[in-house]
Amino acid sequence: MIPFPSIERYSRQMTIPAFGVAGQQKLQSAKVLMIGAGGLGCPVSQYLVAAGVGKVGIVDHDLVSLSNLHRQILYRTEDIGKPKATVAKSTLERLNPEIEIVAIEDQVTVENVLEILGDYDLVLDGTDNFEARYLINDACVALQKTLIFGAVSQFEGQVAVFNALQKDGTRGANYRDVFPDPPGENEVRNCAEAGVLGVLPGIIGAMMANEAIKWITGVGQPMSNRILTYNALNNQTYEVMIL
Amino acid sequence: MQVYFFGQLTDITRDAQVEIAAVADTESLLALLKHQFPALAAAKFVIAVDKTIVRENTALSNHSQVALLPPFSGG
Repeated sequence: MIPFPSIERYSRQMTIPAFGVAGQQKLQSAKVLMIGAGGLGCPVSQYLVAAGVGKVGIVDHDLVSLSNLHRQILYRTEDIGKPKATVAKSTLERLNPEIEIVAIEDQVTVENVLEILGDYDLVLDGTDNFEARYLINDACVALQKTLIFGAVSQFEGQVAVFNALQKDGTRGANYRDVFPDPPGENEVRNCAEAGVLGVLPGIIGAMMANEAIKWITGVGQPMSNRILTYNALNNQTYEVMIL
Repeated sequence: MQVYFFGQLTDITRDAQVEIAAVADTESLLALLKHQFPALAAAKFVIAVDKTIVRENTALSNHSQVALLPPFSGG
């Protein structure tokens, strides 16, 4: 049952016939883990908490820095030097006190990844390095969990839903089906080196949150077995199939 | 044929889209592109032909649409 005050909070999405009370109840029962509370993790967690996802875990070991603030919109100037996961939890609790928000001030490692992911139904990857991305992908494959992937560089972003359960009971493509092996050192520059437009992770993060809401509620077509690239310079998308 | 470049590959090619005279297959295309843009040889990417990722050498026609997609790490 959705308590009476919550009906007003979520009324504008519950009014959509294809979403309805059933969609809201599915969100309320969902447990979602956001790994990385940076440019992608901020908008993703804001939208999921606002939408009424019952439990949201936020993993980040980093501290807020001045160079984060042009794109990491959960944080304010006075938060510089504070742990991102804890500041994010505090801000998100004020956004929606009905949600259970868990701050995990840690880095996913080979030792802890299975334990951290174990308690959640759905995982979102918004980390900033390939080591973490391959570790999270492989852990989701091992645990048979769906992974919503987002990544950004300069003016472009990628979005995909990996390892999603298919109608025939098998699992869909995962990150290694696109890029089988991690790049070597210096083969791909990160955001600190290559740069990123501040608004871009907002767009890609909103797309990730949309995929999460679709996956949880069963509404629409998940971006499974495909990877989408969005270009902020011309608003064009380019979608390729992963076989 | 049209060849599309994404992400940091456009730092190498300068253009996101290049028109290339028809070549027989993806291996020939890669050889041509690496000759034209030598820094591509050190870059990481996958190839999509007509919007499907391919792993093996794949035949191309004049109407093929080829994309070179690099991994992005930023979050």
